[in-house]
Amino acid sequence: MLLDHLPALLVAVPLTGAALSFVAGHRRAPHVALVTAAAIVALAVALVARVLDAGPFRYAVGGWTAPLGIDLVADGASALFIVLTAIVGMGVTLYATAYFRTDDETAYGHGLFWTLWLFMWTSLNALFLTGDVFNVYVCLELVGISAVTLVTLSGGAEALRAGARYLYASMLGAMTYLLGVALLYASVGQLDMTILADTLTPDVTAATGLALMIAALVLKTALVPAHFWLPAAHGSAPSPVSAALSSLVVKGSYFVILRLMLYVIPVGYLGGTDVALGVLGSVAIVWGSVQALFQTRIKQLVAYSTVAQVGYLFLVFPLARLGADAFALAVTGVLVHAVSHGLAKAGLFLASGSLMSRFGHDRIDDMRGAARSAPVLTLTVALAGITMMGLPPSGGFGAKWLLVSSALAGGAWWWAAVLVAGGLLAAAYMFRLLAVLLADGDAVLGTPASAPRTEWVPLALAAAAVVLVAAVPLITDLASASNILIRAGVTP
Amino acid sequence: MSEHRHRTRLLPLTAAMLMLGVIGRAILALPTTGDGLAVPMRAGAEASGIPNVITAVLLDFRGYDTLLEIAVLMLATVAVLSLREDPAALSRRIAGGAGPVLGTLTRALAPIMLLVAGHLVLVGSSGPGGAFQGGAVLGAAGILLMLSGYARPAWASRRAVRWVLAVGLIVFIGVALYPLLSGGTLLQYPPENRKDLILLVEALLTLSIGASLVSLFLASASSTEGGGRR
Repeated sequence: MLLDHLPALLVAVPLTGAALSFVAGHRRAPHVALVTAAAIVALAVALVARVLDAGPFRYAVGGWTAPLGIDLVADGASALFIVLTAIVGMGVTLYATAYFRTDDETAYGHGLFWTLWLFMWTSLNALFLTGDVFNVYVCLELVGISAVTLVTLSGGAEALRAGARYLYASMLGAMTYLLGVALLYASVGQLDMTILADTLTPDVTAATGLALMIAALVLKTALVPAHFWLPAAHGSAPSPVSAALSSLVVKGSYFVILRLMLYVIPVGYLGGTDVALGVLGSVAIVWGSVQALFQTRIKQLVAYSTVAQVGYLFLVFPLARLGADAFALAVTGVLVHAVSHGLAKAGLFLASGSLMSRFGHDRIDDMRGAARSAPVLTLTVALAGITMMGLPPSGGFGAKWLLVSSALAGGAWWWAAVLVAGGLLAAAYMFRLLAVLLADGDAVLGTPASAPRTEWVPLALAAAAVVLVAAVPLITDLASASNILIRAGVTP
Repeated sequence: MSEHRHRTRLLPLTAAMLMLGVIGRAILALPTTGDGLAVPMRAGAEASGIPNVITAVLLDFRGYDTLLEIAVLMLATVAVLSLREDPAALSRRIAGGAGPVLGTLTRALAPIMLLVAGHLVLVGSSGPGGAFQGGAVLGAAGILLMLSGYARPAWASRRAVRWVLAVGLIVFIGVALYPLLSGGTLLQYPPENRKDLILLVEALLTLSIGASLVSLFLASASSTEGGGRR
């Protein structure tokens, strides 16, 4: 009986945690967050089991079904993103208990980290579950405000500047999205994604609205050339926040693009948008990787790597138009990529944060010899690198294998070439970082500002990304339980 | 240099004109008739016993949106609180006290504003009004009390005030989850006490919204102190 309410609970539980952590005060707030995180992990696993068992289901909030009410939709794709968020979220929560030490009374904002973080978790779960295009806007507002504020928590002029820039990008995205929804509703008179998918007819107003919504979400996902706000924001945020932003927040807006492009909008409705997104994705892979190669500060390198890795997510759109086989392989591949990148990038950002606090600076070239004094962190970077490059047996390898298979099944080898080139470029920037860490040298280590006992958290996340290839059958099952593939009538 | 500046102005201008053209074309192409969901909304509102369609949409049909919007409002308050560097700055500024005009006016206005806020909440189910409007009036009353020195601005950092800020959201979540006990879905108020529950949520939301507005005012005021232009 309780299982029927999983979508509601996955939003209500973190929201309750957010409100309670605010009144709990800065000493008890971490405990509220840990209990909440544990509850969400349990609920997320239950949702995966339920979707695998009984397929996608809808949940009518307030007992009013769409079109009058708002329907939550739990399918294989949403369950996968929610469980990814739960795992990474648990890691971030554990790491943050040491990072934001509660005895630091001078850091006024730090006591509020827990509330902001649980609000962000609420909004991500809500975004992955909503079936209503206006409700997406409300979720985007929650994600945006919490993410921007979390960036500024590290204090200092750089973080405030990055946060302000992020705020403008985020607001521009939200307003453009709202404008798009208004045009769409004015034309079609519906907000539910499934009803929209069934009723969309060629119409210039509806098409403009949908195009604005896609453009707004592309800005929020930081696809080149709309990536300008990401490196500064992700690079200057506190490390647990960087991990959550790069691993989860860009996936939130991406998930809505995925649902709109492959579920709601009929093929060809927006002209060549799918190919254009694929081309921009390819540019992002090359541009982000080259930028990452030339960064001198560790978190900037990791942030530009996110710009590159986001590019892969957009290759699914042209690939999905190359026939049924290519469609199923591309959707499965991009889901595997989203999960493996999410795990690896969270591990990499948390490890970078620990390296920075060990060294007392963020200059890559001055981190020689880290392997000897910080072996766990160096191993974490290496494991994350394996996934980024797509070496077997990592999750990144599984994702690229599926995407390349999709390109070849569709007879479009050039997308496969992009995938291979992206792997090589990722190898270049990851090896550059690893070469320094593994080089001989006597790194002068300061006293660790964050407790070393949390260093196993990034290691566990990066290791999970490496062994993720074993979970590819599970992800394939979830993909075939996603409304995208069910509606298209294809199975992987 | 000037050519560069010229070009940096030209780009946003072109983008804005292009956007205007695209949106203009989309709006001109709109059908002149079409009610969207207005007709079924009106029918549903009458059936649900909340004659005011706006309130029915906000708290019943799309109560989930409102729940998340309340979260947005509380989040915004938390966000501003996290940015504030010096919680006591405003209290130092206001310590001088208000002039006799503001003081007298506040004494006369504050009770009326409280009454109006309460009235707006009560009439919300049948006419224009509700928690947001009531909260705005309540917030304005709070700001007046702060400015005239009747209330202490340092209050926003106190534990009790955190409860006032959060109580609306906490009770809203509680009421939203309550139907789950009797087999309903999230926010599916049981028919026998739906009116009472909605009134309870609205009343406490008014309190939290009012407190949020006062906190936002206090926080933003303290950050401008450095300018010294008063």
